[in-house]
Amino acid sequence: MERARLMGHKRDYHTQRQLLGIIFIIPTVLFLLVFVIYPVIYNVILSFTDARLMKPDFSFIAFDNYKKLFSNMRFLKYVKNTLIWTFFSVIGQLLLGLSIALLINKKKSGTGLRSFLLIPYVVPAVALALVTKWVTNGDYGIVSWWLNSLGLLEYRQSPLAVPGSAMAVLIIVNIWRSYPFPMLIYWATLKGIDKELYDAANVDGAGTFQTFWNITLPHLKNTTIVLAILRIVWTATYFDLIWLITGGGPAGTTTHLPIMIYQASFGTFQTGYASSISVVLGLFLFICVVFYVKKTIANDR
Amino acid sequence: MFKKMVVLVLLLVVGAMVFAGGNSEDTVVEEKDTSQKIVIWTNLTADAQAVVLRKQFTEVAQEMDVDFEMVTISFGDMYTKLATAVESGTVPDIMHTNFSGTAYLYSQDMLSPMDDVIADLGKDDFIASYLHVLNAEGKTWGLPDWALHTSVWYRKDLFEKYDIDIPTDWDEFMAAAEKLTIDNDGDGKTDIYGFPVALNATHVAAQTFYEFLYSAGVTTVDPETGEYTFGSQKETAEEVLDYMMELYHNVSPKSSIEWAWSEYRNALVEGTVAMTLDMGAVILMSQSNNPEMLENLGCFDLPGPDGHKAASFGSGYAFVASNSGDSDQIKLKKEFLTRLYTKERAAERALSRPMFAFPSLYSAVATYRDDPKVALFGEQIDTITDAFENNNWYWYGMENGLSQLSSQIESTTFFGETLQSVALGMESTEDAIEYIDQQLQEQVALIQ
Amino acid sequence: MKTNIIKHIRDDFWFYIMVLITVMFVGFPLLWMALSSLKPSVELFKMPPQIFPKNPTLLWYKNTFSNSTVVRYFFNSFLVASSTMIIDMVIATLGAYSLARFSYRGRRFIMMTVLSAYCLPPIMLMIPLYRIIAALGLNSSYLGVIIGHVTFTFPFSVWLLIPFFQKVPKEMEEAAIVDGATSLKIFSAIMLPLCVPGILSTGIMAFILSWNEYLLSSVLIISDTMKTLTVGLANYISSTEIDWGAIMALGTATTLPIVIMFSAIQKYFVEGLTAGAVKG
Repeated sequence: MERARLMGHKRDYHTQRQLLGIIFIIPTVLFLLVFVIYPVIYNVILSFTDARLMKPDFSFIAFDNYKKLFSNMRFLKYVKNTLIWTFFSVIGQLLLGLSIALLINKKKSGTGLRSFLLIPYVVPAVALALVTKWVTNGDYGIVSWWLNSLGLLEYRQSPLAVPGSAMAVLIIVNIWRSYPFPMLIYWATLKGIDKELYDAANVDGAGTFQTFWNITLPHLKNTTIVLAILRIVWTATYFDLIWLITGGGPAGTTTHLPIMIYQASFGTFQTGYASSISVVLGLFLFICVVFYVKKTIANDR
Repeated sequence: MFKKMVVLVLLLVVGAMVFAGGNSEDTVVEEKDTSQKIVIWTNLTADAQAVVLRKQFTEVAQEMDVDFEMVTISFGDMYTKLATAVESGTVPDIMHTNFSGTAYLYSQDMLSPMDDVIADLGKDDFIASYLHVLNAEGKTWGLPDWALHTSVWYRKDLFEKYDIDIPTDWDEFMAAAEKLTIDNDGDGKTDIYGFPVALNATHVAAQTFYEFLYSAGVTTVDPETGEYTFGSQKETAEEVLDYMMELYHNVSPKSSIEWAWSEYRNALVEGTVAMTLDMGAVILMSQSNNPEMLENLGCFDLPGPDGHKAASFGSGYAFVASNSGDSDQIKLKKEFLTRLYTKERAAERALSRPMFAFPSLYSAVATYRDDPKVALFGEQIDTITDAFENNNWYWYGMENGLSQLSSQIESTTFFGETLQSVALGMESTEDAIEYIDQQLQEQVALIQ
Repeated sequence: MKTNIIKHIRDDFWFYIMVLITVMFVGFPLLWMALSSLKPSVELFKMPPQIFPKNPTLLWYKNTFSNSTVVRYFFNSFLVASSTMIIDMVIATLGAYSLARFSYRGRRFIMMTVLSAYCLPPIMLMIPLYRIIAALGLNSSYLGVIIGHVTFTFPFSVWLLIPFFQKVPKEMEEAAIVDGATSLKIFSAIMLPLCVPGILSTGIMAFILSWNEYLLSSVLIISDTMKTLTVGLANYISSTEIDWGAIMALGTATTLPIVIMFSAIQKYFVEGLTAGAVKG
């Protein structure tokens, strides 16, 4: 008797519960629809139009924006810049993140140090950009001064005014800003490796390098793939830092596609054209995202 | 547990702030409803200007018993903001902006013509060339407030010391700049450069280039007909660019490709360059940063290639009124503007940036000259006012009056990027001019 | 035995050298910013630069904070970031709970969309979002900026929160059912209290992201009085005169509160992120 009552309650509960789950997800779904999915579709639509920033009406011009983009003399140069920026930033931050993770994983008392090393993760890009401009100032910057003392830079020159070195500065600053994320993830992965594996290796007389090569690295493979994909997406589309430090200069040597998008939409007010650039960029990254999402969701939940 | 507490406390503080924020918003709204309100935007380029504008707006608003709201827009993101405003229909009633901004608003059909106000104030009192720039379709679309003129600002003491005369053509200019590129202590490092070729991609590169282009007679569009002419003057443009590059390689600090206004002004004021192109803002900078340098500074106009200077580069600011609202509202805006154009107020506004801004009213020029801040520079004022009255001066793309082309040039960076590429040896002059021509033509096509 | 100790000392030595180099690399920009903000003009523009200020001064801070616009920037940033945080916390808590503990059709798809949205960078959303917000008549209003910020922070918040809800043992829920609790009651009396640290730290993270956001804010805000700190700070440099001391002071003042907040929630953040982002 008692049991039947309980079963009934449980059944009621399940219907009720199901309803709650659906009600709870509604705000998320609505927000995703209106401010994420719709914008993405809208962006694709805009890329086939001659929309301008201040005109509400526009007409369809098929692939004209894309034709214009691919016939732009500078487009390939900007793609190349994007690739350089992304490649070195991602490699750099993964390597640095991994090295630091290995370092703090060594000692038990690494928490305080870890906390300190996570700080760059939340430093506002604007503040970082301004410090970068200050230390690389041609006249009064301390980094310019050091480089000049080392004979690497002309007197009263700024590394930001030299092609190549401007990109290098940006990449270093970007690595500084973004290594904490990989560091954290690598650190968590390292914690998850079974200690017994190392003990066994020690018994077998394997050296530090050997254990790293044979045990640690294989365990990091999946993490690295997922991290790399995620960071490629974020880095290739990251706008603030470059915009605020060099604005794409000198001579367009640090202009990457996001800067090109911004200039097209707020420089020449060609919203449609800007959208077509972001669609091209998005297509590349979409493949990465799909891969990442599949891998993460398959692995986890 | 402790950390939880910290988080909670933070959260409460934040919540309280939101609450406070909500409240203060409400009170602002209430205030707004009491009487008619005029929304005024101004490009903020220097704090001193904003202070004077706010003071004058307050006075006029009191005289007329209206409310006003002054919104300062930094020059750097003016076009973004204007576009946003136009798109959302929140265009201000009055805007104080440069001639390109005026052109932009005009191209969006946002402006009310000002000829009636000008007639009331006395058309003859306005310097004619100022009115000309703001002209389109036979109407004047803004009240010129003040204008600025590009000259070569130089160190009189160094010219004297090295026995240099004011150059009258480009060869002499180059020779002077070379003489003034000096290594004082013989350590192999140049201490003073003759002339910096400032090529920062935002605004500055195009401004530098256009002063040279205009001097040599190259224009974007024909001053008479408004036809696109840059394409047919490419050879001259290449020569101009070659000359600029020679200056860059011989007499300019290498970092100047990234220099903007503050860098080259600072360099002259601090004594690390001997000459620079500028609109006179070096004076205010010198007054505040290095007063001892003040008496050493003078100016002359950049000569033409072989003596004859075709035109020079200049611009200015204007007050414009939007055409929104009924005729009463437009009348109200115009009355507000009329009251801003007493000679004292016009002079006071120009004096908020001495030697940078030159008043547009003849009657104000007299007051301007008497002010102690500019009295020191009587000679320079003669040179510059003479140039305003008697010579041709243009702002990029506006050789034939108001044109949106100017705002397109101002809000893009292709000039800067291309000129820097040439300076760094990554592109030939020929390719660079070709690319600029292509981009300009694209812009021209866009606005038609 | 002896060699072991030497090896140990040698290892330690290298360990600390590496740590020192890392700490210097990480600390340098922040330290230099803070030190520069304490230097009077004479020392700022002295070549070669001195590391530590000889006559430290708070003049730049005094100048900066006596400017009412700057105070306004702080207020704006606070308003936008805290509103973003609150909206985020509500939507994300509900969403994450639903995604973590329920199974229904489309759940997997929603999860994938959330994760994809988390990867979607602001520059891709900039143009359409700008137009949508303008069409809603919300540009140049706080609400417009807040919507923009919620758009790019909340997928991350949901993602951070899911593991916190997943961690709550099933048995607790079942025990409550036996006691006759409704599902809403279970959520409010069991789930929420257990996940408070996670929810709060996620909220603070949203606050931080919003506080630091530049691109959308700079595009959506018109008037100077509504600018957030990052936009105001960025304008300091693009204006015609550059006041390095004041910039460094404002930069420090912008960064410091965020770093303090982050330190307070770090433990939970690390927990959420390492559980949610990568497994295996």
